[in-house]
Amino acid sequence: MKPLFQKILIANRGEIALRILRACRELSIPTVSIYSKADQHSLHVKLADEAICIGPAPAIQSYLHIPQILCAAKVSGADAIHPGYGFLSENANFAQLCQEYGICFIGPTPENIQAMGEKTQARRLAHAAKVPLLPGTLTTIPTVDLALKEAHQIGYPIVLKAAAGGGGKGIYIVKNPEELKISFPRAQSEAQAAFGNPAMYLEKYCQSPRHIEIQVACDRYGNQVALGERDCTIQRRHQKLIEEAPSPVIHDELRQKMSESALQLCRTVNYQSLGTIEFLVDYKSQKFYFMEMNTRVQVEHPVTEMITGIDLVKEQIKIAAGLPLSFKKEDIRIQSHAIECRINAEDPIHFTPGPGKITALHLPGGFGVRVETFVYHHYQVLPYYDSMIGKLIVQSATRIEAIKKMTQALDEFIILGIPNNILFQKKIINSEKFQAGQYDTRFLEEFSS
Amino acid sequence: MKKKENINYTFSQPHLEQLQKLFELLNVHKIAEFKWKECDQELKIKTQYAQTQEHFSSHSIPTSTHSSQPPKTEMKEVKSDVVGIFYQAPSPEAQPYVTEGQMVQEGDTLCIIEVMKAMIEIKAKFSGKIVSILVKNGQVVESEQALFLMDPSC
Repeated sequence: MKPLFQKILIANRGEIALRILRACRELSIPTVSIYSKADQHSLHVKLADEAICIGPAPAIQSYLHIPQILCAAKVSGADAIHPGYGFLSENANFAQLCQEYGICFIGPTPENIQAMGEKTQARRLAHAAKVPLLPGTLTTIPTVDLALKEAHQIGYPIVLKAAAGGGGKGIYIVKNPEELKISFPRAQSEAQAAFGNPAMYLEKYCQSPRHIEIQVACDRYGNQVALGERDCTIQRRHQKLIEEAPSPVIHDELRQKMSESALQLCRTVNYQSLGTIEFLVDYKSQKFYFMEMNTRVQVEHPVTEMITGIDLVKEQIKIAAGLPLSFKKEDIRIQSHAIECRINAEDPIHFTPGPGKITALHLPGGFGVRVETFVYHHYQVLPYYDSMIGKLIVQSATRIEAIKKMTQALDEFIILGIPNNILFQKKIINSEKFQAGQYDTRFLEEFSS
Repeated sequence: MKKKENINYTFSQPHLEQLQKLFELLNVHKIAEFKWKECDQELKIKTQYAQTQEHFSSHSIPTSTHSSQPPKTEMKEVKSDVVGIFYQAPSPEAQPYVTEGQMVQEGDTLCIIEVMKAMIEIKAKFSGKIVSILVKNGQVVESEQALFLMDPSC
């Protein structure tokens, strides 16, 4: 059978680069890794069929350097680029340039990315698709006076969000007008520094939400399937730490409604790839509100893979190659439970990242245990990139069994030489509150105090 | 990162000749940093290999024979808490937090260390004058590496 692509360039690093590389191997597609000078000893460089150094350590000069990456694709003869997550994965301009250079961008169309990238536009589209939204503005708010007026109408507390934000960054909770006056200019300048865009919008602050997202897969032929939810409520500083599926708090009826809303949004923008629609869920009232859509593969995608048996990365590549979805709605049968713990090189008390050399490493194993990592014995964890160095995923018949399995796997997981959160994860997993499943996104604030 | 070599020396009465010999050795072996401490005397040298200038800490040994009195001021180092990338300003376009010769107050931000996408502000633990910035913008610094030399008596 003819391969789907001649060669795929993987425009990423770390565990996701390996994840993509393995999917390519299974699809008999040769791979090209790109790497920064600092990453020359990384596994994604060693395991790829070809590897091209594209610049110095800072991401802006390497993994975010569009001309270098396009050149690397051209000189290596790659006819497709997989962007992974982070870096250029949600950069509409990059997706557009790939198209112009005759390279397939393995992801949605530039228009899809553009539509969901600007958060107020995404809110407008969700509103048009009749997806429930938290009260808030549908446009950006340019001045503090207008922000005060809007906030008064919405009612405090409110959340001030960067319109170009993402990844849990650029979020400010404001309790009263005085706080808003102080926070607004600060938030604007921080958004400018972080995202190159100072635009802000307002949303009603949801007091005790769960963060639950729907995984979707859509092809070019109008086939759209929801693959259930992932509950990502355990977060620190608005960044996910533990994800699981199914969610312990939502019922079938709510799951159906959320899935239908997610697909409705996809239909509105004619979405064509893997995607994730994030919702805030008030589990007491079983109401849900659209938060944002991520137009890429998610860090936590293995949770869905474990419970559905579907290889999402392979599916994403197939969709990009023009194949129809390999499954239908009725093929999605979820009869088990999966949990993922993110393993970070950070001190678990202050969450301060700590790079350094791994002096000893032991990875857990066994039935239903999956480790996605790029580190190895004596690997030097670099200060330039994300602190997530691995993901531990377990699958079992029930949530209780999955928790037991995760405890066992965390016990076996040993990383020496750098600070890490393995013990902290074990404490969370074994806490009464987590085991009962009754908590909201403030879980860690209360847990750590 | 520069590879550092360490050599231990013991001498009780350092004088010019010994110091000259020491400087030669540091140069030949490309040694980044040299520390010597005895009783209340301490000598610390950082060479170009550590991308810093040499300097003397409190009760330092001067390099010339005629200035054997202790220096008038006691310099203090501001060190990095973490491994990361040193930035003098919050963004490439922004003005640096501090410049050499500038007075700072306790709690003022002196620089940012970027570590794994987290921006960690290094603040002044005491007030004083920034005598010297010991590292370059964008340079990788190690935990406990000196970033600034400050004169707290100013």
